[in-house]
Amino acid sequence: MNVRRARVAAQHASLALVSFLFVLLAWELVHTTGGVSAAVARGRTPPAPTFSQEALDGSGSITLDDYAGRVVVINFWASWCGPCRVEAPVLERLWRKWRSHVVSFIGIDVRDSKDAARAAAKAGGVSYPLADDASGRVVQLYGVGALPATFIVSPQRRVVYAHVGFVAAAELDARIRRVVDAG
Amino acid sequence: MGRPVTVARVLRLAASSAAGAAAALVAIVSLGWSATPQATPLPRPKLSLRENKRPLSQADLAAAAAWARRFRSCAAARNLILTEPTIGENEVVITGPAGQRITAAQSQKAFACGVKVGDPPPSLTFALLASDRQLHLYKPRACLLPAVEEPPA
Repeated sequence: MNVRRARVAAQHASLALVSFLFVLLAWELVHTTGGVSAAVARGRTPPAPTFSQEALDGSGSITLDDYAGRVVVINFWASWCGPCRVEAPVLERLWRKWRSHVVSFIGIDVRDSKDAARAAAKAGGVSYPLADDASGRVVQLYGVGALPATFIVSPQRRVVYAHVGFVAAAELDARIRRVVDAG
Repeated sequence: MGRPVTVARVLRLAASSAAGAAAALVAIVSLGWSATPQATPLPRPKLSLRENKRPLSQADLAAAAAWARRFRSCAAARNLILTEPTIGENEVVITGPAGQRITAAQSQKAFACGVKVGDPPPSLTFALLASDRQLHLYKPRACLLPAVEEPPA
């Protein structure tokens, strides 16, 4: 009798385990986005993955959560990437234009040496906050496969724009304006 | 012979399944799976050489062609004879003698001249790429990141 009860209990436990794993698998399949870039490319506005990285100038850490309620332009770049260095003055101009309108810029320096990055930032006249991502953790979180890459995060912490490659000033300016106007 | 299937037994098994599924949902919600996109490593973007070229002005093309000629002279000094650089679609192309394609070994030899001649003009924006067994001098739109093998810790 006890053996039979044990067998029945094992059956129920096995069934519960199978259901548990099945639901996890189904959820994973439905929610695997391939990263933020892929989700935005499909017309979605995924939540912006948060990050906290060391500031390139040694002033502490740069944390996305500290920018709650603001529009945040996140630019992935590296000193070894020519198009990124050409783009830097464009971003600096837009940063100066928009920073008083609840818009923040964060540069994420990817797989780079800090000294080279600081020198490139100085040469490009970059004054917005720069974070170090030498390990490539954040770039992977955002699903970035090439540099430069630029994202706009809404005040609701949704990624509403993603662009890989050199972004034209007029294009980024218009996108920022659209997000600011939408509140 | 197995036990007969009864409504009560089916209901008990269904309850076990539901319990498992409910536990999974609790785990999903408590772990915040729905809140953050997965940090999945992505394949390299499909960015062909043609798609990655930015438009070049006449001044850009002239500067690139001048640099390519210096590069060609350097290669000749290393017994690698290249043709006169030709202007293609938003690029300057260098091929082997008489239009022959450049082999991988010759490309490696030629790239040593990049160090000697200096960075392509203007140094920050041009790239020299061996593709289709030719050397392409162009302005890239983006720099491909190395493929990520493992998710970050």
